[in-house]
Order: sequence, then structure tokens, then C-alpha cells
Amino acid sequence: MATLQENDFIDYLLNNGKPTPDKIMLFNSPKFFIFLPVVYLVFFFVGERARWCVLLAASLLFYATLHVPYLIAVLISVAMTTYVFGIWLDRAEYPKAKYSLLWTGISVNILILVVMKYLPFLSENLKALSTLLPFDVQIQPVKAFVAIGVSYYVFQAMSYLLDVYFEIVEPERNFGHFLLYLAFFPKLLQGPIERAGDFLPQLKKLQVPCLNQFRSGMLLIIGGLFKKVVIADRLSLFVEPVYSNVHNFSGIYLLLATYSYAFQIYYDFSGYTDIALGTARVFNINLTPNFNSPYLATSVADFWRRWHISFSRWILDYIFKPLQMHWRNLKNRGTALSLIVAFLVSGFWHGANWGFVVWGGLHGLYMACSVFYRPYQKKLHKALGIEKTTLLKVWQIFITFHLVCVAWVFFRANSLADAWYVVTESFSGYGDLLKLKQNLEVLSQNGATLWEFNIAVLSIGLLLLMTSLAKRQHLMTIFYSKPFLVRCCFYYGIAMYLLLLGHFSNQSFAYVRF
Amino acid sequence: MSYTYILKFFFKLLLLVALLEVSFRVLVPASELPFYVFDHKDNILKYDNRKQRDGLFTSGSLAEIRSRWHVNNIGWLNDRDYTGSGDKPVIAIIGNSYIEALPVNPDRNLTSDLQQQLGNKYAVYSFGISGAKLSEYLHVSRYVRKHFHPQVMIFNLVDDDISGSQLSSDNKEGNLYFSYSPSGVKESFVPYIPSKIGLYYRKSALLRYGRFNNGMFDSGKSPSALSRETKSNYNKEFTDYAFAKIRLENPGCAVIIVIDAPRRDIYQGITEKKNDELRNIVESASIANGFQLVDLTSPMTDLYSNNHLKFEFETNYHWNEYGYRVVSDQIYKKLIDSGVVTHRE
Repeated sequence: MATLQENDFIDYLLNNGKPTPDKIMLFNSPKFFIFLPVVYLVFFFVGERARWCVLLAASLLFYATLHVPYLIAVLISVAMTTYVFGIWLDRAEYPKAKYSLLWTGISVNILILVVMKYLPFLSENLKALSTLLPFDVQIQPVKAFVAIGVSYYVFQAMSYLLDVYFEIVEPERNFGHFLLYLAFFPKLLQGPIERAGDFLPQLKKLQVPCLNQFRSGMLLIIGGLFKKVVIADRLSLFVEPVYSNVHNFSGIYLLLATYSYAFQIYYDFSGYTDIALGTARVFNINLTPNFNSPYLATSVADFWRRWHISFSRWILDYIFKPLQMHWRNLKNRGTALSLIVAFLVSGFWHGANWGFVVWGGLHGLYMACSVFYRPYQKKLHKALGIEKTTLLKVWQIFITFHLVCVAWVFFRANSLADAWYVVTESFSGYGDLLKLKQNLEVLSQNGATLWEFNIAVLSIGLLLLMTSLAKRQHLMTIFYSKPFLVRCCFYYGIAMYLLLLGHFSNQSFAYVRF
Repeated sequence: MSYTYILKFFFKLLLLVALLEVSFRVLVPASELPFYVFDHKDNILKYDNRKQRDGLFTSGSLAEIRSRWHVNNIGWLNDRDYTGSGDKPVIAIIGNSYIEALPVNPDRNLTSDLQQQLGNKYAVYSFGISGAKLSEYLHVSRYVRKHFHPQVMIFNLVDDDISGSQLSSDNKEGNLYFSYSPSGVKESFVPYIPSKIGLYYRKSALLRYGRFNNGMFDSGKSPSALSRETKSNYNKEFTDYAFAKIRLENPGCAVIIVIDAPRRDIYQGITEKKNDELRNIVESASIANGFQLVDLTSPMTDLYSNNHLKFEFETNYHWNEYGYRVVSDQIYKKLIDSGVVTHRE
């Protein structure tokens, strides 16, 4: 009898070059909670000058756990190219030379991003276009690379070059520091997209954090984990079965899945960000907060001031503002056009998929419309009689949330056809009792029961309560002044809640794939 | 922040872990699972009856399902010890976790139910090991024939038992698999490498809870068994090969093939058979080899339409006590109708 060879096993483990979720050291995996204390202890006990080396080694090791060797090579290539161009930009004396260097550096980064992320999409669409030509063009399908984290650090690299060009930051002379700026493990896979001016100065003097910093970091990690495993992964039970087969579901379930997705993606991404911020904070590094209650936004523009803040700031500073400047003669039309282009880029950044492009386009369209609608806004509110009332804010939040939800449909759906089906069929099929019953059965077979829904709602409520309490500094001081036994009961309660009600099946974080 | 604080912090963390350890022993008992052992003499994966013979299986994050298990004298999960003395005709049930039946107490599983229905005239022995596929059933049948010379062999086919027989990445160690080439089906044995880590982490209730109850160490796979079933290209070849081997290697032994119902479709009221191709393969291979077939689709559909009772747990797709009873009834009926066994006296 033949025996399965070891090499076959390795090949299967690598899943043909694509890391499976169990290979990635995700923030909700037990591996990470072994990795983190070990790195922390080394960081704590080594001298101040060597601390950045510990973080750099840990970051490269963290990235290496993906088992995709070329990713490390790409990261180092991006870092080296950007580092060298940063220094050349500083040394260049003539504006033309500076300008050329800037665009060469940016082009190299864009090229790397395109090769890593967009080649299959481009070849697929070129192939589709070639069918329209009167002659035969052979376009071979291109295999996708694993590009986890690439779009985040490439964007950071580009922002660094632009900041050096505009003399907002000094070029970094220490390559190790610069590599750590791109590779710092808490933000490597999903951001936040840090600015060099905020991040690099913190590496110059890496002290161990003060007690409050350490505590707040730990609380952020626990809060982030709670968001991810208790809320987001639970809500996914109501999303996955529906969105994987939308045509089988009635309107009410399409609506339920879309609302659930809106909260799932928020708690998933903000959970990840909280763990990233908390982890960085225990190493005495402060990262940019990425969220600020986005679903309480009163307009789409306000939403983008609260959602994925580091990314929206990037888009605003490096795409929208230069475009608006360029088209300033067109006045409102120029602004609207800049918004649409900026948001299309934002959609495309999320991935080589038309759904993301439509998602970005929709947000661009919302914002562009608001440019023209703004003068009439007050008149409308006055006509409706809701001006200067609490109802106005509620109304604005309601409308903004639903506009965002419509865009989420395109973001989440497996295809544009599926998305269109969800949008058009969300208000039909309410009378088909047999189908409603069948749908309910499918959901419950996938674990989406009333119990799970209630736990999700209860947990969101608990989280909101805890967050509002944590914001009151005096309450935190009182809590920390309580005897150890009291605090221990609280920690025990949290740990049991997480373990008993958390979904720990290592589901990947939503934004890892971008 | 001083060294003392860090030391204190880790001490408190240890205290919290100790508290959790106690909680998962007392409040929400973490699941215990029997230890595997590879029997080199028979070249077969079984359970170790020296490390731990009895234990409590729990399933779900709140340990909603609780049942006890016992490893018998020769390393199979059963309350009864097996003898190869030949004083009673043996009816052997071969399968995977459905036959292993961890989520129900041993006196409520298929083996017990069938034994009860047949009475003491026969000895019903089960040979179930979690994760086994059709290819492994063939392997187990050789072991069963060697030691017990059964009068009847019952093979329970569920989920992806056929397509899962394909030699691939997620093969279970210590099991037999099939691969297909133009020259025919080839048997390949995946060697068993005992996990030393498992011996240690299983001592901690907290880690066992994370591993077995909460899926903390899982890869996030959600096996949708029946949908995968149709994807394999060699279902027919594997089935034909395994069934023919079973027939040739067990002359004079009656063989019954049990095939699980598409229960999810039944609950949704979907009447058309999605998996016809697979059922046809099993049916035609059974006829060709003279095996009896027990297809649970019709009886389960009829029963569910009458009483709306499900055949599995709410949080675990394995059969519940009622499910086992239904399967046992169907097998008993087939045994009697086909004249393989006589009525209980």
C-alpha cells in the first residue's frame, strides 16, 4: 500500500499557496495570545535601544506565519524602495527632479500593488473586452497572488513619499525604523493606515508604558475581542446563509441579513482595530483610532469622518484634495467629480471586484449629490417642520444609515446580480408563508436562532453600556481602587462571557482580505 | 511601570486561568474524548482502554449535550465487552462518529437499540471511529472479519463518506484512503503519528473546552457534507471498488448498507431528491453485489411529516436518541424482511 508522502502534506498545508484561516495568526486565535505575552516579556526586559528590534523581529515573524514567503520579500522591497526614494527626495535640489522622483517612487508602489492584487481582475476584464474586437486576442488568465496586508503598507509607503515631498516629515534615516513603520504587526494586516509623522517619532524613545497606558491597552484588547467573537461572528450567522444564496430568500430575510451585515462588518473591523490599538498601546505606541460611532453619523460625509478614519483621511488628503484643487474652476461640479473619483479609488482599493467599485461609486454619488443638495437642505427641513428638533437628528441618522446599508449590499454580495436582487427584492415575498418557513429552517440549520439573535442584541447593549462607563474617567479610577477580589470577579465575568458566548471558530476578519 | 507590576499582572492572569480551569470542571464541564491508539498488530486505529476508559462527552458552548462514554475491552466505544468466541452470531455495525455515538449515552445508541430489538440470540458489536470514511470501513471490515466472523455486516453511510475516501489534505491519520488512476482504485494508508501535545493539553479543562466545545483551535471550516459529496469525480469508482471488495472478502456474510436521509431538505419540505446521483451509485452497487439497502429518506420524511420531531440535536447534526431509534427500527425491519435474522423469541 502506498503512503502519503510528507511533501504532499506540506503542499496540502499550504493549500496551493493560499493561507487558510488557521495558518494566519489572527487576533482572535489562541496562537496570538501566546505570541503577544512572549513578545511583550522580551520587549519589557530588553534595553530601550533594542526594543524596536524586538518589535521588528516580532512583526516579521507575525507576517511569516502566513506561510507565504514572497510576502516578506514584497514587504521588504516596498520598504527599501520607499526608503531610498525618501532619502533621494530629500537630497534632490531641483523641483523637477523632486517631482520625477516622487512619481517614480509612487509608480513603483502602485505597480507592486497592481501586480499583487489586480492582475487577475485586469486580465479577466481585458479578456471580456477582447471578445468585442473584430480579431482574435489571446489573453491568458492570471493566477492571483496572496496579498494580505499589501494594500495597507503600500498606501503607507505612498503617503510617506508624499509627506517627504511636501516636507511634512523628514525622511527616516534608520531603515529598521522605516521597515517597522510599514510592518508593525498590530496594524500590518488591517491597518490603521498610519502617517509617518505620527508613527516614526514614537520609535525614537520606546519606553515601557505607564500603568494607565498598559491598563487601557488591555481593556481595548478585551473590548475588541468581545466585539469580534461575541457580536460580529454571531451576526455572521444571519448573513452568510442568506448572502451565499440570496435567490432562495424572501424580502424580510434579505433585510435582516443586510442590517446584520452592517453591524457585523462594523464590529468585526472595529474589534480588530481595538485589538490593534490595544496591542500597540501596551508597547507604548499610539495608533490612529479608526472609528467613532459611524452609525450615528448624520450625513454620508459625517459617516466618512467616523468610519475607517485613517483610510478616509488618506483618500481625502492624497486624492480628493489634489483633484478638487485641479478642478477648482468647475466649482461645485469639480468638487462632485473629485468626490466620485476619490470614492471609486476607495472602492477599487478594497479589491479587484466590481461590487467594491459600485460600493465606492455609490458613496461618491451620495457625496456628490449632497454638494448640490446642501443649499436646499434647510428649506426641506423647514418645510417638513423638523428644523431644530431632536427628530431632525434622528431622521438624518436614519437616512444616512440606510444609504450606507444600500451600499453595503454591493460590498457584501457575491456578484452584482446578487446585489441587485437584494436591493430590488427586499420588500417582496412577505406573504409567501411556505417560503418564509423554509427560510427560517435554513437559518436555524446554520445556527441563526432566536437565542443567537438575542445574545447579539444583549451583547451590543452591554458593550454600549461598558463603553459609556469606561469613558467616565472617575468611574475607572473608582474601579481600579476597588479591592483585587472585586476586580477579579469582574475579569472572571468577562472571561466567562467571552468563552461561553464567543464564537471562536477562527473566522477571518473581514478587512484582512483587503 | 515596574517589574513588580508585570510580575503581579502575570500572577493575576494565572489566578484567573486557575478560576476558569475550575469552572470548566464544575460549572460547564469541558468535553472529554477517548484517546486514540494505533493497534500495530491489526494495523487499525482504535481507542485506548489503558489511558482513560470512561469519560463525559459534552457538546456546545454551554455543554448542552452531555453523555458518558466507555471504552471496552478491545478498544471500541461500547458498554459491552466484545468476545470472539463465536458462541453467538455477531452483527457488526461499521461506521464513523454516528456509530461511535458520543452525543448519546451508550444505552441509547444504535447498537444498544438494535441489540434490544434482536434479544440475546445475537451479539451486536459496533466499530465506529470518528472521521472514518468508506475506505476506512473497508479496512475495519477486514479487522472485524479476522476477529469476529460476523453473520451480518452493517455499513452506515453518512455525509461525505464516499467522496471523503479520496486521498487528500484533510485525511485522518491512521486511516485507509482511495486514490484513482486509469489503472483503477488504489488503497493508500495514511500513517498514524500520535500527538504528544494532545496528551498534555487534554489535562486542562480550559484547553479542552476551547478545543472541543468552542472550536477555538478549529480552522473555521464548515463541512457541508452533502454539497461536497457531489463534487468528487470518483464516487462511482470508489463505491464499486469498496463494495466489490467487501463482497469478495466476506463470503457468506450478509451485508446491509444504511444511507442517511437528506434531513435538512426534509425539514425544509424539499421533496425532490438533490442527491439522486449518489443514491443511484450506492443503490446500483448494492444490487450488483447482492447487498441489502436501507435508505432512510422515505421513513424519515414520513415520520417528520407526522410528528415534526427532528432526528438530530439542535446544535449537533449527529442523530439524537430518537434518530437512533428510527434507524434501529429500519435496520431491524430489513434484517427480518430479508430473512437474515429471525424474530426475537
